[in-house]
Amino acid sequence: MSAGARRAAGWVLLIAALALVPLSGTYVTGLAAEVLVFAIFAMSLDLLIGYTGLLSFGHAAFFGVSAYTVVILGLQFGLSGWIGVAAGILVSAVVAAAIGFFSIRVSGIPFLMLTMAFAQLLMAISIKWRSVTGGTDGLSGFQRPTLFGYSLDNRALQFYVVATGFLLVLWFLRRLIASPLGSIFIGIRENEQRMRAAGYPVQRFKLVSFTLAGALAGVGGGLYALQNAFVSSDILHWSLSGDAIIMVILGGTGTIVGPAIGAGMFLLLKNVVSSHTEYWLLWVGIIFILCVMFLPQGVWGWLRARRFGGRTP
Amino acid sequence: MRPGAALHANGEARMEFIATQLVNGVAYGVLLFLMSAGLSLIFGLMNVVNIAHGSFFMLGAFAALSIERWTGSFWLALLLSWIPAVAIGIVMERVFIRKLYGRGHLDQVLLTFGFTFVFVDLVRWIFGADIRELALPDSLTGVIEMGGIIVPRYRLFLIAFGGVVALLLWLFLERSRVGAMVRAGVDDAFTATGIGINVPVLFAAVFALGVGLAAVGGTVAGPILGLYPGMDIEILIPAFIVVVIGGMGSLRGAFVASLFVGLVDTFGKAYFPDFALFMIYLLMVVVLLTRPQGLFGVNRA
Amino acid sequence: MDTSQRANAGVTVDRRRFIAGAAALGAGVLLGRAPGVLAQSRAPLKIGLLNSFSKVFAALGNANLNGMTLYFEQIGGTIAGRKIEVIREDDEINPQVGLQKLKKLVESDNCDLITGIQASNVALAAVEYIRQSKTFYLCSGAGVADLSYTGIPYLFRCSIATHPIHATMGEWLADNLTKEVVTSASDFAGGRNTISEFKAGFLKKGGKIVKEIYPPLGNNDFSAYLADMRSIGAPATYSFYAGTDAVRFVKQYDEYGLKAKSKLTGSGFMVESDTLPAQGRSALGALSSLHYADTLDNAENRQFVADYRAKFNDYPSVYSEYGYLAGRLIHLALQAVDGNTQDKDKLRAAMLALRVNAPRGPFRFNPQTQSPIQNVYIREVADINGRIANKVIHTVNDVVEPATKSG
Repeated sequence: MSAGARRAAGWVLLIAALALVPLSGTYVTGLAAEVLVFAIFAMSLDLLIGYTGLLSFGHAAFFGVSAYTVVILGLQFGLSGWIGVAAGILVSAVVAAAIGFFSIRVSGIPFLMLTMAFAQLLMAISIKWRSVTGGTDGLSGFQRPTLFGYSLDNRALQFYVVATGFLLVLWFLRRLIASPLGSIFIGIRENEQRMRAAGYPVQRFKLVSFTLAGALAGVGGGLYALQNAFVSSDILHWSLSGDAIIMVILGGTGTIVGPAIGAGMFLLLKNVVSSHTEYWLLWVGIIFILCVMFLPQGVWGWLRARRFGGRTP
Repeated sequence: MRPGAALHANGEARMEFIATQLVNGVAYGVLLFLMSAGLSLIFGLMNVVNIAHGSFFMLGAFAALSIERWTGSFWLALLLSWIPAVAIGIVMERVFIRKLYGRGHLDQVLLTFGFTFVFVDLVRWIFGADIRELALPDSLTGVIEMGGIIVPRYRLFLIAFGGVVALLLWLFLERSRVGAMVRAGVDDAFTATGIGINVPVLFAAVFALGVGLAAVGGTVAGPILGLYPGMDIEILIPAFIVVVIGGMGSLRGAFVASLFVGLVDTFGKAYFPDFALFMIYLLMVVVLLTRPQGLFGVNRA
Repeated sequence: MDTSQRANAGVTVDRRRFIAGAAALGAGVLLGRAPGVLAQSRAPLKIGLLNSFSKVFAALGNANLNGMTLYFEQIGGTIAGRKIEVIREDDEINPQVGLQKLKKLVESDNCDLITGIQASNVALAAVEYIRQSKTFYLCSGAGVADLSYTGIPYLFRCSIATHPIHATMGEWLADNLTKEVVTSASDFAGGRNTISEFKAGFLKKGGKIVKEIYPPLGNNDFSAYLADMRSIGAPATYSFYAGTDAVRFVKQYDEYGLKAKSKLTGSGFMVESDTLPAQGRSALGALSSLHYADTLDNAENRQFVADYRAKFNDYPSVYSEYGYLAGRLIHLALQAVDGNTQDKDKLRAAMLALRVNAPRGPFRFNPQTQSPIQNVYIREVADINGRIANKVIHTVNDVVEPATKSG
């Protein structure tokens, strides 16, 4: 099979599998939708960690800001969730551009700390600005929008909307990484000095990457708001940024699909283990440690290496 | 409460207020220093970013609790509580972190990040989730009145204790043979190996020293902050902020920034309570944007 | 709100449950047994317990589970011939997680009813889902006022509504101690609500709030605020903090010698069994209000405390008592309807008809709000034979919350 045919077959298989998910009952469908939402979130973070070499610890900011935008526009202005999601992505991109503008001036640990600090600033605002954000109690009562006359309260429809978003993000990221812009990101990851020496405005490209990643996280956050019809300040907490990092590492950095698989593994692991023991964090920690030690390329990276006998482009 | 509402027209009350805050800010700074000194040393020498550093703070506190329960003595707890933490730290360095020296910062961050989950749940498993109290001996409770200013005795003890630790640490690094090796290692680990320093042992020793300081920090913080699973992250974040502000790898930076952050946090809460949640984050943002390498950092990039 | 449109999500669940129920019934009839005669012939009773079992509320969630476990063991683990199966899920004090776990309990585990939820933000996030899915929910945790006014027929609360607790304290304080206080609470919804509920009672009785102080949540040093309280020098302070904030506030209040100057009073949750061991003697003399104290002197409570200590080697907390009573109410109501959880209206009627002598004292549901009508106790922290605990110094009987949500 040619590479093109194989790729096409992969897409068909993926779409078919997603199309069948709602047959498995409302609960599994809901869980699958949540997995896909976090898959989008993790994939967007991988654009920074895996492709541009930027370890951001504040990625929840963009996810959360978008979710807040959807719910607040719905509750305060009666705007439909569709407009909300579009606005949410836009707001996330703007916020990411602003935070990125300052954060990319430093790198390494200071970068990690700065991105976390900005996310914490946003969380502090969401806690304090009660009249708009509902504070720690959050905002409920958001009415989900309709699609072709059907309410998104229907779980299967919710899933299809989220799945469509997931496929679009996946497609976009594949195109992006294959494009010249993607090559520049990878070049920055591999050797920033050399890129600079070659005359690339590295800072500007870092900012582009950061903004794009923020906007994509906004896609996830917006869909999350549609799915949950609820948002509270926890969505901006650093621990959500930490979860996203775990997802990316478990699945495999710099693999596009890997973080999506990592998101699925993380959420399933958490759901299964936490039903049996209150010490589920212990197990997440152990698995994560083992993964960092022995599977640095992540589960997907490892599988791919076995399948193709080495890294494929 | 509005900004400045804590102030009163009465000048005497204001002086008393400022003095009280000063003592508290410095006491908090001491706790931050015990944490950030180890973080900074470990980073400076070994280039390791230890996210699990807060875990050793927590382990130290809970070890102290156990010792105090067995012996009934706070002093004994203070004397011995670092031992379990250091033992665990050495195992962690030898078995896990050592394997990652060849890889980048990112992997160390991730590895030690994973350990924070393990440690917090282990502590919860062994000690339960309740908040526990590390009781003080009578000699350290109560207040001292100094010129109308009320200062809790324990805060003064904490400040004195931190001062002594800082002094010993300085003497050790500047005056001792091992200290000279450490300094050589910070400058250049490769050369250090060349001039016959046993780098692996040195690394293990410095890692042990760092986590030992954190454990002692947890012990002396216990009576003020209480003991609970989760105290690890609560101290880790401000400690990291201190290290970043002070300049990664600089002990002097850690010392100055600890006091700076302790005072800004304390006074910030008093005068701008609405911004209390993010005062120190704001401070870090401002410092990093004007001096990316931190106050005393060397630009390694 | 348009509920007809929003009911979609619940349909499949109800249908599946109906089929399962019908199948169980059919099997019983085929085997020639009337439902309920033999335990084996009936489907197990699945109770979903959603609570915080990790992070800072872990101790509360576990106490809640222990109380309920104790009760179910005492009745032999079956209700009306149905074997009790408690399915526990951890909400991590995070509304998003809680909502997801709630869906799991209802849709995947097919629980017959749901109980628990200590964190008010998790409970508030769950309300819309409970409404849409027509889940039978008995809250044994969050005291937030809004839960009383949802108008959802299948939402009950057996823990507390905070308004009666705090407003009663306000009235009592104004009548018996002082008309001037400084209030302080953590700056989050729960803290602000507590203070406004206290004020409702305190102002009504002619009290005056000298100053309101709101330190941030998760504060490690209260000295700035304590210095402020000290210089104002009101006869009393009224505060609400939870968890580590409660421990640090009370300890530092004592450390700075404020107790002698301004009487330390507050919400009962500030000096409860989850924080008292860590607060130790610094909490002595603190006045607070709650619907329970483990030292309550009635037959029910003596038995409860003795049994609980025998099983868990620890004193029960207010959260254990929530769980214990929840178990008892589920037992009694289900017994009245012969274990039938399908007919929710009947179950609801059975719940509303209950009159129970609980460890906390006489308990019944308020038919308007489906929250408790119960005693409120004014308590004082004392050294009782070497143990620091709350002793009851005054009882206000059968307190009823406002019929509509007040400001």
